[in-house]
Amino acid sequence: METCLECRELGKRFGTIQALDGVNLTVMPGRVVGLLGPNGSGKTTLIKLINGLLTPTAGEVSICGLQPGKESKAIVSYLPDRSCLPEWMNVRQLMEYYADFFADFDRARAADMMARLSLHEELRISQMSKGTKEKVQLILVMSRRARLYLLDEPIGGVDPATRDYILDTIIRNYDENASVVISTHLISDVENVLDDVVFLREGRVSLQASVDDLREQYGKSVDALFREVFKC
Amino acid sequence: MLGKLLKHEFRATGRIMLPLIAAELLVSVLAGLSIRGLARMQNMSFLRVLYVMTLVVFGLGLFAIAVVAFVLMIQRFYKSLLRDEGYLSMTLPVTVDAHIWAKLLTSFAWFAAVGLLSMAAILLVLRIGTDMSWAPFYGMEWDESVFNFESIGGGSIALYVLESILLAFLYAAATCLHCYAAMAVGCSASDHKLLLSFVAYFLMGMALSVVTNALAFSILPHTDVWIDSMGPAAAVHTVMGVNILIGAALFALYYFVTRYFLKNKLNLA
Repeated sequence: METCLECRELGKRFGTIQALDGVNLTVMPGRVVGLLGPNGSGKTTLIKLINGLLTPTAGEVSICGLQPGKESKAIVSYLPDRSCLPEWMNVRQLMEYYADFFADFDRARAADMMARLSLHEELRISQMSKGTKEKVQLILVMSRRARLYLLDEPIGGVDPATRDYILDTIIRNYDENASVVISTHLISDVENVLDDVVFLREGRVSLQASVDDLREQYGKSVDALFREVFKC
Repeated sequence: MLGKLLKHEFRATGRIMLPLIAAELLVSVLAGLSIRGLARMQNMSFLRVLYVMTLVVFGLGLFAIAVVAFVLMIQRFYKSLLRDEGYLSMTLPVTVDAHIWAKLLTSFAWFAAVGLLSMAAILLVLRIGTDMSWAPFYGMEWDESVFNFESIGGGSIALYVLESILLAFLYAAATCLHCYAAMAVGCSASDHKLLLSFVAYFLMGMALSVVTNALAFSILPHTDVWIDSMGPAAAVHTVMGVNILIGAALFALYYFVTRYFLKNKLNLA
């Protein structure tokens, strides 16, 4: 079976800072992977490299056999760790924007999810609260029939009810042949939806395993193991 | 994909430019009426002040729209590719070239629109404010002598116009790309992106100025005999041709720098 994502000896250096060092990672189709690590461990850098927003200083990335570029961007659906939607656009214009550029965008599904949240199509991004913007961004990202979803801190900085909505939206909407990579340090909230976890420490992969294997091997939850591994 | 990028780029800029253009055309009508009003008035009055103010607003309006078009050219590139919106636009399945051309062509379209607006607005003011009629523009017959530049040794006006348009296009594009390249370089740093963009702008400008001046001083003294040996028209075409080549070289250089940094050194904050 073709891998959804493969990183080989991936490295990224910013001046004197080695943000990622020799990262090897394989993600198979249909898996929900938690990219876990404390702040500054390299999670966002890794996701940016996969998206082609950064160029690696060592190693390589392959997404369904493609190098990061125009073709890979057509099959990767990316949720950044900040609001990136143009503030002047309204919901209708945003859906039109996504439909224009992403052939796999399911506009009907997006419109349905927007309607469920009572988000009127003429509502502008600038008129929305921070939480609503995050939901809109997530709806757009999860309305694509992508091969790989890269979600960077999707539940960071939102209230528990919104967290539930976000996780529920992710799980309900991703295609079973696609893979989802969720980067977070809020492990207890996402633990139940993960199939595999990757622990990232100071730019290196310190552990990669399935959640079931970890629980069996260590006899504790991923959250408890994370707290033990990354104890200050 | 370039077409789709252009569509959304025009939508983003049109919401600012179109109301300004419409407002300026309205002010042109009012300015024309003000000129008529001023011609009829003898004494100082509030209305007279109002008429003068309308004319001032008209003039400042034209200048302001040109400034807005220039600022938009910079702001759209910076905000939509190098700031938070870049997380969306730079992950679209689109090449870096398409992004650059979309920004460049949209800016050009608005620069052209501002140029046309200026001409239309001034004609409108003259038409309404004076007794000038449109008649001279209809069926106007070109004097044959217009097509021959006797003072510079003859030659086709079409060729001069073509060279001038090409020259204007290349230098305007190089000016835009100079700004784009500076922003692409400055924003590749981790901190002080805006400051470094300004530094990159001035350093690139200075470096190219030094190179072109050095080339000019080393080559020009040896071209006198060559220039003198050709006719005036050929000399003018040669000078235009050299300037077009310099413009094309600047265009290519700034384009390459912009493309390289967006493709390989992108570093969104």
